Amino acid sequence: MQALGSEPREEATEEEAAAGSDERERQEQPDARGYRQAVAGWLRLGFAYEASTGRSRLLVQEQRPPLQVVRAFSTDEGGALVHVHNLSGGVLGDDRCELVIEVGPGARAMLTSTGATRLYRPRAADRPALQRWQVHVGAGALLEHLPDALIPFAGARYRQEVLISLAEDAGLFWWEMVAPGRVARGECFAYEWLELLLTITSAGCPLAIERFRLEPHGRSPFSLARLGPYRYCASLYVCRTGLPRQRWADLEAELAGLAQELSRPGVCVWGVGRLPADGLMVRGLAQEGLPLSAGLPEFWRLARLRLYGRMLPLPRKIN
Amino acid sequence: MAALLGEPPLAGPPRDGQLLDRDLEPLQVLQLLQLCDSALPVGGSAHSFGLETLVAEELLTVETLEEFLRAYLTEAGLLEGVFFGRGWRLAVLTASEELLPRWRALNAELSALKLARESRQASIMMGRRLLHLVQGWFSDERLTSVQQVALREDGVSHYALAAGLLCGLLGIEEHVALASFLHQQLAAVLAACQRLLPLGQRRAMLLLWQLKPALLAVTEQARDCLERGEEPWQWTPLVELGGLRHPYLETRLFIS
Repeated sequence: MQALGSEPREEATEEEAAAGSDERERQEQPDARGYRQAVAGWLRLGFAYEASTGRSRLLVQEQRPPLQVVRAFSTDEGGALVHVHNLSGGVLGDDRCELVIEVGPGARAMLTSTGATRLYRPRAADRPALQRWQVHVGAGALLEHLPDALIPFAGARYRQEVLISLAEDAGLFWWEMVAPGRVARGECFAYEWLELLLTITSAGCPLAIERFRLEPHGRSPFSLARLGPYRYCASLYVCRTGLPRQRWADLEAELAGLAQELSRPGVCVWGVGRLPADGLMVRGLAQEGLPLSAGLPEFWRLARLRLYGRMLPLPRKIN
Repeated sequence: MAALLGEPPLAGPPRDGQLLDRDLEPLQVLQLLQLCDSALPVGGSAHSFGLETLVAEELLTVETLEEFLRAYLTEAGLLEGVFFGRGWRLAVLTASEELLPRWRALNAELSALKLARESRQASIMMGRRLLHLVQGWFSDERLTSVQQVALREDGVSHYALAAGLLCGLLGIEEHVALASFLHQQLAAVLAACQRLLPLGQRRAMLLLWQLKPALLAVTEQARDCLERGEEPWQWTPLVELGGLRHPYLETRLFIS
């Protein structure tokens, strides 16, 4: 893979700079309840398509620890692959992290993590950790978000908000996998709560909304209305705006066939369903994480082949 | 989608437990009984909402049914209840021009929340049938405009919203209407379970009786969400998967 250079953010206006500075100063105030300052991570990435080279570049970048991007790599089809690092090694109580991703018209971007996102046990006085994504995929652009699993440690309190807007002919592959905890240490659903919110819109119209609150001590995850015999949960959203309904019906049938093939009731089950428009969702539940982490790429590859005519290898660190 | 449109939630009636006795006229009681009758011909009995898959995989049994229904009520019941209430509160809008954009936005939001296509389609089909069924029952310009939207091919009209709007237009007090609607939903799920499981009438009716306090608790939660303008949580991945996998069962009693 060829490395692509990152360029600094374009000049902000005076007002923007002042507003940003005030906001950060407010967020940097030492926390009176403990010795650790509240962390306000910030990552702003922009991707643009360069017609002269036929490649997508990481052009706009603003970052603030613990979030960091080191460089972008070129994918086999000229897209930009970026690894999002969390320098803390995970998310701590009181952390506030915001990621703003803008994929410009015609650009192709792939985001991944460097490892599982660990949600650490907070101190009692800490506010819940918050991570907020604001994503826009421009006309004819494609964003692929293929991170590792979310692992909530015992006692973790975490809220994740993801808001994705898709322009005309914009594409999206977005997966998420949630583990029950550090199972090898005997921690299974020992976290306090997780709130996972995701909204995907196209032209202001919602395509998919998830609003989960997992609160193992108050509402048993093992209820048949929730996970039943399974412990791990995964979802993949596949979208491309403007495609005719029949294309989605065909893709749904094909992916559902794969879901049937990969399902082993009691061990791992997969399902596929069309969204109200412009996409479909793949959902998987499993006893262990491996069938899900192995299955998600299978769905991604097949959907990518059908929607974009080409499969790509997974980001290198996963291979 | 109210949140996306940035519109504030519509106000409901004052929360006063005495309203139930004081404000419901005998005619309204009879209207509510008819609208919330489990035999209302809107097609609810054709859908298992994913439960048939859970039974086929021997996860849902008579023994696990009560626990399942309690959890299902707190997740799916809460979502349906909140949207019923939002439909009910649309009736405070006096002009169709005001009502229709909100109606469309709420239906779009509920469609996006119902990730399993089977459940989404069932809810839309039942909503359409309900709006079709009540044509000629009473006259209201707002109802007519919603019926026109619903009966067009792309006019998505979910059952919870349609039932809520009807009760609102009829002036049936929100609290009792919401509880009755959830009761109807629970009775429909139990009826599906009676066809799928060795569950007799006596046991089913006993369950329906015993679950009433849980149902009222969900009614209160839904009203809390409505009052505070909060979005309800919902997490029923196994039931969703049951719906997604339902078309691939070898034999099926219910439609996908």
